[in-house]
Amino acid sequence: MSILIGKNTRVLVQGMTGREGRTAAEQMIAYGTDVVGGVTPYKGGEWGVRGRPVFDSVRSAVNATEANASLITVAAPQAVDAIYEAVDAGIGLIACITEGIPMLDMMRLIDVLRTTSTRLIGANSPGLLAPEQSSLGIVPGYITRRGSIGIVSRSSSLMYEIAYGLTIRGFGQSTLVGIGGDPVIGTTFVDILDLFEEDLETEQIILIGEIGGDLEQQAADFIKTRMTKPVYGLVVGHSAPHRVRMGHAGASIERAEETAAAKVSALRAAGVRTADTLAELFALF
Amino acid sequence: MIPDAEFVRDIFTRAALPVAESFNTPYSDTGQAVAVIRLHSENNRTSGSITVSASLYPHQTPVHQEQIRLSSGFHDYQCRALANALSLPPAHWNEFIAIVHKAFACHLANDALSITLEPLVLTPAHLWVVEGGSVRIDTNARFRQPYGAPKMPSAVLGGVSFVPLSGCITCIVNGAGLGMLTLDSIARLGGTTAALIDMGSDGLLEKLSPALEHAASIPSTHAILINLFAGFTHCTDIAASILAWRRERPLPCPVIVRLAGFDAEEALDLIMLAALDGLFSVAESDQAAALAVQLTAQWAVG
Repeated sequence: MSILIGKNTRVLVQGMTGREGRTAAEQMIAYGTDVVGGVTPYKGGEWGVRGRPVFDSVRSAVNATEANASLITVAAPQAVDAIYEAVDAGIGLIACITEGIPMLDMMRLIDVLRTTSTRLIGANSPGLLAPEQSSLGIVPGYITRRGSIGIVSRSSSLMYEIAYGLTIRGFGQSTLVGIGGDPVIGTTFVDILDLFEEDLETEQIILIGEIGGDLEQQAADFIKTRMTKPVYGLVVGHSAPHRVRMGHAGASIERAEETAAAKVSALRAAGVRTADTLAELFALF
Repeated sequence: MIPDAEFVRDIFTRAALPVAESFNTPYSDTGQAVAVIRLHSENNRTSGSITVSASLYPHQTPVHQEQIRLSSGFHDYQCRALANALSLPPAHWNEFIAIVHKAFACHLANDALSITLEPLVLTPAHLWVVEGGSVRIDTNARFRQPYGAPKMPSAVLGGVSFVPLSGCITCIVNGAGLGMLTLDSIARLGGTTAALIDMGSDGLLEKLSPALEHAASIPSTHAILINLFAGFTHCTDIAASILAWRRERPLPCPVIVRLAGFDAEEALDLIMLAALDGLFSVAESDQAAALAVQLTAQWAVG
């Protein structure tokens, strides 16, 4: 098993005819994912990547293909509209790789999503991947192998590093989930930890955090009270100066609770074994 | 990011905020995806801010705060709760409510991350006075706002993010998380970072040469550390780009290259076998940071 995606995941790519969408679709298809079509307004009827049909709307695409997941690859000004369209068409799982969506738009969107059964991963996320099963996003498949370690991360680059490091050391993963580096995101650490706790294939979890916000503290509370599986943690940004955005929109220290030290402290208090470096993290396995 | 004074004036003028009255604060708890108006009080003055990203008052406990769901809006009863928390005389509640509503409307209209009125004062003559204020703008929303790009401490240019810092090792990475990990390793080993250049996840080959040029142009750079994880790009192509760049110009300082991912071993071998002065290849991230710190220490001694 895996969480959120698997062999039954039927993927639409919103923005398939654009550069990002084309690349993502190529990667997912090459990995064996069941990509059933794409959506690009005004280009319905064309053929997209590797002969997949392109539709004008998500609703028509769902009617024709029975898609149950969507990858949003459109540009930031159109991304939120694309997400609303997928929600209205009844898509149950959406991953958004688009970076740079205005914060107020995301806040309105998250508020609406609370009233639906749709789960949004991201935005500004690489998506997720279940090794040797399916992919919804741009996580490179070759860096993973199937196994029992669940990975959840705010950083895509570190998630890749750690998955690859585990793979070459012989440790496989159940599912990799990049929740995204923006301050307002659809799915949090707690949501994914909850799913990993229930997943039969996942035996251990790695949580990769960074400065900004309080998602790691929320995760610590959840781990302390609800989790039985061992959790390992790495939090980066210890040397980041305050009030400087360190690449990710959400990676900025505005309050004392948002420092890496505060997050590590909370995680350790919850029983998480934390590492300061990649080498230290791999040595824990 | 704090825009310049002219920009702030423009924002407040457009929103027609009354130049007088008490205070208020839009702020937002982004984890909960709700806007939060917070009231703070200090020395019998009231101040506050409207933020969508973080509190501007990390050391103050708010007198009162109201959460606002953007889908349902900001309501008068919430303003009354704020006024009540301030112990405002009821005769001034309507004026206060109008100010808070205008500030919040200004916040939404301008895609602000925060608006701070500090302090907002009700004078003995029953005038409302805003003595100061600031606006933080969401630069992601510039595409739909009439104002130009405000000055930023970190810039995103051509898909490359640049964060200036105050040390002597300039790091070129492809991902914010990897960048922060690299900075942490350098700091842990006693080194300092001059700048973080993040090329993002795509177009590495196109961005690499400009990123190297930029790194080399920073006067405080005593070493350049390239730390990349190549998900789909061949590391051998990255190595070839670095070698080509190096052969075209003298190195201003040592360059340490750490590559992981597709063809990484072959790529690092290419760099090693080229045996070019000042160019080093390392397999592990921590080792690369250690070498950069060691070389900058030698630079300082030399």
